Amino acid sequence: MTSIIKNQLGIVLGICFILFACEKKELPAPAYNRGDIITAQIEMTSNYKNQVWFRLFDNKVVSTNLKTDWDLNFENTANGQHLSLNSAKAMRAYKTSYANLTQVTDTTGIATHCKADNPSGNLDSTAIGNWQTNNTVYIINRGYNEIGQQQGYYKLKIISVTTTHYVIEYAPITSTEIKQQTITKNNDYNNTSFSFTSNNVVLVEPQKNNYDLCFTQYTHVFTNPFQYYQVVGVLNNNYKTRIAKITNIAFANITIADTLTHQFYTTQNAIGYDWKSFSLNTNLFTIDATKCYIINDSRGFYYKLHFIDFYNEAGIKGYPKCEYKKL
Amino acid sequence: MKLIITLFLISTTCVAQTIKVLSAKDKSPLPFAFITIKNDVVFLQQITDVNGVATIGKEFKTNELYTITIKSVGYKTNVQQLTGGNLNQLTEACLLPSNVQLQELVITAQYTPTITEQAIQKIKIIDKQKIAQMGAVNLRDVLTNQLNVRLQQDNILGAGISCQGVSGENVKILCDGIPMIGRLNGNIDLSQINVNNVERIEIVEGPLSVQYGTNALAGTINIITKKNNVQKYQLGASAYYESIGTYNLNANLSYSKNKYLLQINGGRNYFDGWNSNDNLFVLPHSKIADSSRYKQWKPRLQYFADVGYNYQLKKINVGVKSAFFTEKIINRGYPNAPYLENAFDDYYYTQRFDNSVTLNGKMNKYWSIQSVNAYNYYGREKQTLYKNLTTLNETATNVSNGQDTTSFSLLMLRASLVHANDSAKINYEFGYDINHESALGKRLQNNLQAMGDYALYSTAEYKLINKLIIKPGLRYGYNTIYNAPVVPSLNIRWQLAHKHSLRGSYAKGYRAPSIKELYFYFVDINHNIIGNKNLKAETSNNYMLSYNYTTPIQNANYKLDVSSFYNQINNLITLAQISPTLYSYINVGHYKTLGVQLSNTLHYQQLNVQLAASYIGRDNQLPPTLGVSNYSYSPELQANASYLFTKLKTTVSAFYKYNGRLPNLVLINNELQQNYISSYSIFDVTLNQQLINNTLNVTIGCKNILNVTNINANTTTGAHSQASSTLAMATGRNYFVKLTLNLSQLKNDINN
Repeated sequence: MTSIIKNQLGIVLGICFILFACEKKELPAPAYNRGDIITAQIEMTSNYKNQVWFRLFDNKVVSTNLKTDWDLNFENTANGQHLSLNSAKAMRAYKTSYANLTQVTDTTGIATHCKADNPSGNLDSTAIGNWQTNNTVYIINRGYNEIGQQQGYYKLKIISVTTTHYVIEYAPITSTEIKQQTITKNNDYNNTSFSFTSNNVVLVEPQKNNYDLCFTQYTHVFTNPFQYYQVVGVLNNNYKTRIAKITNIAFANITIADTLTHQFYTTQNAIGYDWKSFSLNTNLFTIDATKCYIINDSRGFYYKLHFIDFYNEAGIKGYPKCEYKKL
Repeated sequence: MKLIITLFLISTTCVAQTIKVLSAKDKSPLPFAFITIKNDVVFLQQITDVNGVATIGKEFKTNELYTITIKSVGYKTNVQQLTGGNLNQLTEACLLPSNVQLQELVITAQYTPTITEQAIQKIKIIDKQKIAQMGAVNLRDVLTNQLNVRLQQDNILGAGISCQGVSGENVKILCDGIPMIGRLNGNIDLSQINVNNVERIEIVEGPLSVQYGTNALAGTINIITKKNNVQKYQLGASAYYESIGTYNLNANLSYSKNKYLLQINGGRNYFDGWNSNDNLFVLPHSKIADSSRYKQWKPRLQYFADVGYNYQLKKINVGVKSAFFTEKIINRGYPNAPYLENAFDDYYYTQRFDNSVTLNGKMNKYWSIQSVNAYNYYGREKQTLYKNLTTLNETATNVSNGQDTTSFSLLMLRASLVHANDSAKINYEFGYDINHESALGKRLQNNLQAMGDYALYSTAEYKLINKLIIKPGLRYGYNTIYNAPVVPSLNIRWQLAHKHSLRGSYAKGYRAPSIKELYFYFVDINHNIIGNKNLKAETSNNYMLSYNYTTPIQNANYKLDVSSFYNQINNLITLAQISPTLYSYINVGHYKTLGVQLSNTLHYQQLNVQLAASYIGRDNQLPPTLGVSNYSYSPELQANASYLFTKLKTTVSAFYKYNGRLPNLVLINNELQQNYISSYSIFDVTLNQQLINNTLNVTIGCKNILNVTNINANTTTGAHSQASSTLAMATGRNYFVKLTLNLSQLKNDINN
């Protein structure tokens, strides 16, 4: 009996040796040779609280602000009269039929009728729209901060606009204390920003000839079915900046000659958000490095650009990384 | 049946009665066979000596019924009911080799262990021999060959099932009568349930909600673990290798003395992951961290250990058991494009810790008690590491979706009092079933929620006439959160004639809204999904009818089974859009399934053949105004065969299961679309060899000979158009070898 046991234990122990197989350590992969390309990583942070204004020619972040720093943008050109919302916060507007601010005290029934600005930046299709005909009170949904807290509702009436300034009246939705504010136009900037929090004009967007790209959250409009959805992406400067999209040529092979054969767009979401995708299975963002862009900046230079990452070295999302090269 | 068990009844005047146990094969005496004779008052156990003879020092009352059980290793257990008069004259009994299947006992939803054919429910059995012949490691492996059961594979959440066309959240999985917890998306991962220490698996299709409460709607799977109380000690070890990279080891020890039994079982399972381009027979080795690091089937490492202690306290058997299980799933991410220098690696850690105290036994002549008291814990944690593949540095990510913990716990107190008297016209049971469940998770309101369910149930078996038994049942429950439904059931069994029997049943089943459906909370800038505290249970009406024909011939046994079912599920819990911005769970919609099944089983000498087919229709859930068929039908086929070469002690087995194309009609933008999952077949062939006086058992085989990997599916994704995709179904053709060592010393070795 014991010899049988010994023999069998010997067999079993031998097999055990093989069967204690376990997960083996990996060997390092070789690094990729990048060549003379400029790399930039933008710090939006994992909850996308930052709006980052970026300039290509000297690879510089011009300025960074919190998305909660401002609420409304006022168009600065002499004939300009448009207001736009801070879509990074998912702001919405609703035009009431009331003429006086005191007549508006709650938000009943407006939920499904609230509008967002068009993500293309086309000022003819903003949520506030053409306020001058039938000038009534707007209800402004201030959207959400970076941790998802609702920022409350305001009521707003635009009193007047001239070549030099706007006059507005506004108050929190339930308040009877109406505030009045004059907003002075400054044509060095695309827009003048205003904050309900500080009750004042705030400096957010850099001078219009001083930046190319803004890394920010914004509201995208899906059409089938219709849905507003917050996305994270890049909006380009409205001022003299043009974008061409190239998907059929590898980034390394794009040359100045390609600027002649591709159409350039001036819409502010021409680069947009879809250079990355999110997988519900893995809960991870994947970069589509085959989506390449040619940027024609306000100085006239051409750059080719594509994205290579959305995570920083610690694996935290909200740090888009792009590569670009002057053509 | 009695014809097969050749009992020689010879008149005798001898006072000290002896019974000789022989092999039916060659009439050789069987030493160390275990004889139990019992009824409500008598309990007697004896073991045969080297000549196969046991001395029964007792005379039995002529008119009383006794159950005699004769067991011997390698032979099929022989269970008979005899009057004392016949028993007193019993001198010889023959046992058939164990591959010839005889009467199998079942316990799920029974008052006392009952022969399958006589159980009032239709119960399917998968015994340890089939499990061993299949080379099955876990419950998923076992169920690949089960009719009316379809498997789904999610390589992160695990293997799920559907039963009778109804999804896995409506299938209750029990281990020795204790519910398994840890449902992710409704399913329990079947590959976490090891079957190395399983005596048999009992599968009841249709509801058992009266006895087992929530989830026991489409089916109940009860896993019965081995309880070895024959041998003095028993030491077992097994090693398993599969060519796709599975390496399993486990060992078990049991020791019994006088009134107690101690059992210890433990093991380690490792699977090194699988991709369709993997080579077979490759041992794990270090590889460059390139795109080959991503595995479709994730590597997993499991450890498990359990300890059980049983003590016979007068007529009550007290059992205490603790089982611990831990699993690590390694999901090495695909290197991030375009430079392939970084990747996210996910690690999923699961722990199960199941503890129970059971009481089983007689209280007096007719009354017995079965009590199960359990505390089960399940925890799953996800950890994400960001790995630089060029330096192999890893950084723990602490973003919100990185470290995720879900845990469940269940405190269950359950007992039933059973009145069972074979000669009585009516037998009955009363029971209570108390479940206190809590869940902890990130997307739950307040992150922690609990639910109590307190139920009373009762069933009765009433012999209307000798051959017609009806068994009504009723469950009444109170739940701390939602209104628990009152659940009735009615089973009928009619022994039409000696070889023919008919079963019919109506039962109501239910699935309680899960804590997630009640208390889900996920609100951010793009989402607003909130659970609904006012949900009702999903309830079902199940109707079944089956006909059974059994004909025993000399050395052969043929069984035919024809059955049909109809399931109607109401108040389906569905995630729905409540307002333009809010999503929540609501009770809406109905679902129906129906099916027929034909099953043939033949045991002829050393040959076992099983041939079965089913045809199941699943409700398309479309409005009747469309004028299309309500159901989409799909066939299944099961064909198994095994043959024992008695002299060589070799068994050759083949297992085949065909899963037909699974169609589904859906309405997308007012257009009908035909979705489907392609058909596939799983075919395994194995060879089982007994060596060295049955102490070493070697099984080799080829699993999935038809090389099924991913199968095609046409599924509709959300509001967008149809998409062709593939579903992971199996890991391709592979070869396995399993060695099982079994050393034991019989109790009466000491006596000799």
